[in-house]
Amino acid sequence: MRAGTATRSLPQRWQEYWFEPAPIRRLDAFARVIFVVVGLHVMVIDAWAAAHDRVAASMYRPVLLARLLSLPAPTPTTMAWLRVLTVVACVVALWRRAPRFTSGLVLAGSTVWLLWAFSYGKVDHDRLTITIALLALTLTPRRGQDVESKTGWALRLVQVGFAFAYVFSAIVKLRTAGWGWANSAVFTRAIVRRGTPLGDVLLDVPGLLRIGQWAFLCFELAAVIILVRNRWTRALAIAGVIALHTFTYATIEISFLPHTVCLLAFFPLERIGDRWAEWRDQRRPPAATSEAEDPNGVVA
Amino acid sequence: MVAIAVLAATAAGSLWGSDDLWPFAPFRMYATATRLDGHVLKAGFRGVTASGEELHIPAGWLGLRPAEVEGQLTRDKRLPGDRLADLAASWNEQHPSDEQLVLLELRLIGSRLEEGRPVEDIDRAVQTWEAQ
Repeated sequence: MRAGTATRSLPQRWQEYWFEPAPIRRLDAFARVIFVVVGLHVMVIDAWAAAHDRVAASMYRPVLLARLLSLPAPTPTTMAWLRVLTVVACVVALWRRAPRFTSGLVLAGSTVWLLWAFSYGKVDHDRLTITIALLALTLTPRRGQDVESKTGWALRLVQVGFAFAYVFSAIVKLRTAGWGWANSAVFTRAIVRRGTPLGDVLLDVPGLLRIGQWAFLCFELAAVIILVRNRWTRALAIAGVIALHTFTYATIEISFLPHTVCLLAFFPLERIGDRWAEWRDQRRPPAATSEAEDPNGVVA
Repeated sequence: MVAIAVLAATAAGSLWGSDDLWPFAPFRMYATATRLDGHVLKAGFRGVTASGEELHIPAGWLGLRPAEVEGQLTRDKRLPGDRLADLAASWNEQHPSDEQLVLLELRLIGSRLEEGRPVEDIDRAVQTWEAQ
């Protein structure tokens, strides 16, 4: 007998939410995108972090985890080795063989990379979600008992980390500046520092920027609705996330890619592979198929 | 348990933590308020080479982001200790003799705001290192 929502206890519903079965191929597709993004960041996008290898050592201010690991400041040699090893780990992990081990290697490389990136006086907050994703991949097997439930858990952890990043971001704004944040000139500051042509136009309309700040803060506080399983509510929240990040990129050229890519954890990515297979089958010449099926090569 | 631990650590970092706790640091990017009649400033450098050439040096040329330099400034907007001298020494190790610096100046560059609108450019030196 199927238990209705009303008859299930809270622990049961909690369990069902966290361990909702998901196809392994969905996590495989998600993992591959994550590894590509990590590799791109280490080799191309984070050129500023790689440049730390030539900074005066006295500027190195290791964060707590770097101090606990006794991680010294990077040198050109150690930085080059880390980049090469991390990218090799990303490439190997794409095959999804020994997935926990290879994901763990990427997690380790990425963590050291970020510790070196963030130990010079500035910590970015767009890397937590991808770090959570790598942790989830490191802990999730591809075979064995309940593997689809464990796959569902990994994707859910990424989804929850993604959603709460906005909520925690709003909480820190309120903790640091209170509701006055939304009436301040914070968007103006962001645009003056890293403006784009669109951002520069908006500098002349500070009232509009303040409306944008209120919308931004309210959305961050409400972003947790992306976690509900109602299809339309979730679609609305995803549209809001896309709008928010499009606006941010258009005005200050920050993509938050290591965070925004984790939005893919909400999508049935395995269907891309299905569509690709269907498309490939349709393009295959029918004669070739018939010949393959007919050992005598006689086409009916 | 892992999920709860991750979320609890992130929540605790957001409520009580500092950047030092990364990966469980608070989400502080653009979290501070900027006064409508305040200033928006960004760290940059000016250098003079041994051949007398004057250079505007973005923080990136020294291997740093502007926010990383700003994150290390003291209350009086200076780099503590010998860090400015160390930056110059690091530059000099990586450049031929005629491009080596005999002077490096830390500058704050940006705008003054009125009612949230930039009205005046600012570019002022806050600290200078000169070769002995």
